Amino acid sequence: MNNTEKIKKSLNKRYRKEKRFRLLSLLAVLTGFACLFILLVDMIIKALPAFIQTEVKLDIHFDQEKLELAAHFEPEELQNANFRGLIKQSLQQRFPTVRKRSDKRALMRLISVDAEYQLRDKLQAEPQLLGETVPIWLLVDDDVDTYLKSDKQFGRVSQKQIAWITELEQQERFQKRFNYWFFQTGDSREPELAGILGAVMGSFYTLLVTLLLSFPIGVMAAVYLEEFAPRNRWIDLIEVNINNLAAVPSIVFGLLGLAVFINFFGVPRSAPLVGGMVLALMTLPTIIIASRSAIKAVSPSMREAALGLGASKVQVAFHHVVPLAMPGILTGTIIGLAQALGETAPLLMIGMVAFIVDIPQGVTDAATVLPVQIYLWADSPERAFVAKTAAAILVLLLFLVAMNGLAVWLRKKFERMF
Amino acid sequence: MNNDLSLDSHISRRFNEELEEVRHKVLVMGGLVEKQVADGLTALLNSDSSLGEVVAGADFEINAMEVAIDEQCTHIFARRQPAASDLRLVISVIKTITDLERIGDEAEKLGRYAMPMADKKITPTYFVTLRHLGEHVKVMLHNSLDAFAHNDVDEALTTIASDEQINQEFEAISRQLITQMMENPRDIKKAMQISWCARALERIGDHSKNICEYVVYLVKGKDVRHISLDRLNKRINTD
Amino acid sequence: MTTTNIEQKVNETWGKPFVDNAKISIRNMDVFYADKQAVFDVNLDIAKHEVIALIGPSGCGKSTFLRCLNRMNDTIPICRVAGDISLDGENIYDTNMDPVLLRARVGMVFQKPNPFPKSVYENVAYGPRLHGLALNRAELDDIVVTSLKKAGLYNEVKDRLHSIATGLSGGQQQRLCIARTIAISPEVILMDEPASALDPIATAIIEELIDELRKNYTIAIVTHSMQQAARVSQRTAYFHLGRIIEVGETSQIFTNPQHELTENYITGRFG
Repeated sequence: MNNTEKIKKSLNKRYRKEKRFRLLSLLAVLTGFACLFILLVDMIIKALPAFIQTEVKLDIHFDQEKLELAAHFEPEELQNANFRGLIKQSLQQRFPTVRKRSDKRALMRLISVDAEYQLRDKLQAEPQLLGETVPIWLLVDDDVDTYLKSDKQFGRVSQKQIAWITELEQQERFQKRFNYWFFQTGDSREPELAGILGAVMGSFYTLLVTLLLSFPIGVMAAVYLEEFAPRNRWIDLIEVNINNLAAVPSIVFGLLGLAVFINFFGVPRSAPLVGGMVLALMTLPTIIIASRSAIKAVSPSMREAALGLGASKVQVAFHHVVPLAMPGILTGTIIGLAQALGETAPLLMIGMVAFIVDIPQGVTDAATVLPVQIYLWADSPERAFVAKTAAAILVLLLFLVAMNGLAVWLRKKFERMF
Repeated sequence: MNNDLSLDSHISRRFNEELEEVRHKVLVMGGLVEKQVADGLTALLNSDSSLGEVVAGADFEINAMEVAIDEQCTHIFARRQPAASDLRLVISVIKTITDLERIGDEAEKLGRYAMPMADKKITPTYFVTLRHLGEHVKVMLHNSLDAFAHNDVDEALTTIASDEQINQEFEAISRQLITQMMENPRDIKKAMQISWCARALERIGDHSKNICEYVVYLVKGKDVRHISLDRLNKRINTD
Repeated sequence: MTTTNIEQKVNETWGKPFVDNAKISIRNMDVFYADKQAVFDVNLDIAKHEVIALIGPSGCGKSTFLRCLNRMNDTIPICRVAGDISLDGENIYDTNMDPVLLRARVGMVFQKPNPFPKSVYENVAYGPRLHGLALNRAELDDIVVTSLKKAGLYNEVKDRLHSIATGLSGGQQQRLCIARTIAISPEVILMDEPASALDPIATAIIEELIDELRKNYTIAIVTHSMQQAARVSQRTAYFHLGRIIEVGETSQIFTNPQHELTENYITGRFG
């Protein structure tokens, strides 16, 4: 057997090996992809009901007397008018046979507690409706909503209620519409009223604070350590500590934030400001480590070229090294921020795990963040919150995708050919 | 004195071989030339016209060798870009073979003159001085080739100095022949032929001297052509 | 080779290290990396408007030596330079000497073409901008164009001054680096194997350029190509194990070196 034949024989073996390896790799990728796919599909299916809201059409008579309003009333008095009475009246007209108090209450529970405010807003917008009778679409209660969405399988409605719902349905008084409400409001105890916007804004402000703090500090620290720091024991110590910080459990950062930022510096509790500060601490090691390796990867010939032209060390660092390392630095920053976005544990300690209805308007307003919101909803007993939880997870994922998209775009912008 | 050009210590073994081969060929060519000169002289002095014919006909071999070595040197230039001692060696070789070829031509002339002179009755007394000159030239040629073979500057310098003696002998022969021709005009033709032979031998001496000068250039890196012996020695001794 | 042999003295320099019109003079220079000495007692003058070639086997200290001439070695913390190196009589390792100013006076071109990943224009304009050499845009334009012309690159890049410099060919990139260096009008240009990454034609163009630049600048060039040293330089210094073994006229070094180590190196022999 000559060499060519030997090589041929071994070639076959090698190619088989390669094929096996390729198949295995493909399998690994496919498995990962399948898991992700299953997760996404599951989430989307579970979340779909949250994006649809049922309404019921009731004929409302804006009766001044029933509203407990004087003949001539100030617009402010409308705030305290008895709109609930209007709904009661309308329902009684629709179901005149209902007499018992408890049945009346059950009947009233078909309609969302928010319906009266809907009516108030309507009247405030169109005062000429006073005294008129108009059909109006009102939010139904979450139990009814869930019952209708789940093909009448859900049992938190009583037999009587089912009868009324069936009657209303026969009269085609139900409609399903897109739940824009979900994207416009903050949290609520009532699932049909709960929205994600508060948490989204909370996350946004928190991450903004995190980015503004951790990016400059992290990059400067990395530049100093790589370009300027003398090689001595102190710098080694700092390096070891930075690497260790990356592995510290996040709850510890929360405790630190509680002790230092809130108790010592008096930063307002539950606010994106303090949350952002704590998450910045947690993100710093990630950014520093990623930035350092990106800076290290910048070709020394660039430094030499600039030095040879008479640039000072700071000029070399900021004219050449940092811009060239920017794609890597941005990647590290986004990874760090993505971690921060998903973090709940440190926020427990600083009071950001809270039921907050209002949408935060700035970094000092009390707020909650997306993962906390998900946790809170997942912990709620109402069946309708299951869909809300899934929807919130989808929103969180979308937030991440948007952040990564931004990172890719920035990287493309900074990346230069060599 | 370190006469070792260490041709065998290049990193490229092939280069060692090429340089060694060229040197070897030059020495082979030198041997051939030496034999031609010796044969030519013998033919002349012994009035051996057949040997003269052989000598006259054998020059092409030397010419062919010159061309071959020349080509090899060109290849070395093109492929190796020799520097320093290697450069000097190749240059010296190219120059040396030119002079060797010229010596070959002179030997051919000797052989050619031997043929007509063998037919004529020439008084042997003419040959005595010619033989003397011839022996001297043979020794000088041998010494110059020896100096080349051993990169021996001392021998080269001695040989260069000995050229002066050959020139003097040639002068003496010329004077003798002129006297002869004035006394005996009928012998002018014979005397002229002998003069040409002497002239050829003297030229061989000059070429040998050139070869020795190349040896000095090769070893010392100093050009010692066209200068007086005194200045030559001075130049050699100032490093 | 009368007195040369391998035991020939190596701790003194053969040939003529000193000249009358020195631009840079180096006396008793030692360079250490931590405890390891890389350059030993070097004495050398670099004359005005000459090209001096520094040759020698890898690791012989010639690049280290070159980098000490504009204090590029300052960036290596463990590197220490002793001795006296003066540029026009000023000691460049004096505490009064600003290394940034020194590097503006003693420019450097590197082995690998290293243009900044910016436009051709920005590459050349960087140095003048850094040092405030141009008062306005027109002056800067003028400097850029003149430098590119001096580097023999202008005609090739005049239509793409604002496209990225890393898109140029290797030879063009190296000439751009030279243009970038001469844009700040240095007095001395140090070149560390400037043509080692280039093809023969680009190399020939660079060599031609070096010859042209000699009129206005003093040039020290480290090269591994003996032919290149022979072609571009007037004087050649041979480094061996951190010492200058021999300095002399290039034509003399390449036909008749005095020291056996030089001889061995340039003829490709075992040392």
